[in-house]
Amino acid sequence: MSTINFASREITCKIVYYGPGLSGKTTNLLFIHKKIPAKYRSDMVSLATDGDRTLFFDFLPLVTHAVKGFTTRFQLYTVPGQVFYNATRKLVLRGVDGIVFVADSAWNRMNDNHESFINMKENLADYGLTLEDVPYVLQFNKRDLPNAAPVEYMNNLLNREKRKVPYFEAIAIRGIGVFETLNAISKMVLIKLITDLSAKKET
Amino acid sequence: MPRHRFITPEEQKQIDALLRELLKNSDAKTAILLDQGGFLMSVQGFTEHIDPNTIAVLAAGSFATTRELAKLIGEEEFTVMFHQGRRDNIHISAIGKDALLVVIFENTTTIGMVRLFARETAKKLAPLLDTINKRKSKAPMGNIPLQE
Repeated sequence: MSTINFASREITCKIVYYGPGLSGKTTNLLFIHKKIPAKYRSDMVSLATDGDRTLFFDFLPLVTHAVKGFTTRFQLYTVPGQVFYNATRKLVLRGVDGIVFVADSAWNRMNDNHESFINMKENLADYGLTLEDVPYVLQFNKRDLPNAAPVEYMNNLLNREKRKVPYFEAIAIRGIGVFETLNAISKMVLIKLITDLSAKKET
Repeated sequence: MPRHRFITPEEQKQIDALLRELLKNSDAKTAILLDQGGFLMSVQGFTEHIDPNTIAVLAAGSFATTRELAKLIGEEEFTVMFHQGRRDNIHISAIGKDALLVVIFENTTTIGMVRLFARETAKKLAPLLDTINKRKSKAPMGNIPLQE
């Protein structure tokens, strides 16, 4: 749920990076953290295990001026990908405004990608949300793998909802496709916010 | 839950004033109001060297975790959480179903005082938050233009 504060002229939106374990969600955030000047971001918080697996979430706040007269804060979160962390994964989705689904391009991870996508839909449903309501994009990560599945195949597997969404090829560890993905989802979230406002104004 | 939450300047003023009153009465250091999704609504008091946004996010995460723990033992939720440090302490309490009040205080005051005044503040904040949460997704102060 975005929060619009007319006193401090601030809009805050929550973007969640979702996807199976080890697909590169945290890597996306780490790259963004590294590249964005310190004045536009705060420190990144990682609740991870010793083995660098996300235990609860990673959190990276960004500040932009995308909306005239308002400071726009994007709060980027990742979820733990491992199947058995579903309780915490669901908690992170609370109040979500936009989702980046990070899929692993390795052939042998296609089942995991698909299962994680279904799991995301189920967890959204628990908050009364569907993929019709929430803006989201797909990121096909690890395109440099020798056994990467074709993009068309992955798109066919994961972009099956009524509303087709943009997808991005990425090699997050080298930063390729990371900002393209972030720009697309942040734009979609703001457009959705503004459309919601104008739709209500007409009635 | 609405898709977007709007806080008007008047509501913000009231929230800020209630948090300041809480700090004055309880002698605590910092008070933060947030929703259970981790969105910051107000921060008052001492904020040097702390990042209220990150505190809000972690407090919400911590509270969500304890709520799940509560469910596992058959409780609906734990409405209060307290973290004790050597010098600074954190008191987190739920306000209704959607908001949390975080109070950071030093050992110069007591947990009892903080708890008492946090409860009073929560009572005063509840109807205000209810109005904000029930507001339909409509900008109360005109349209919001995207930056060119």
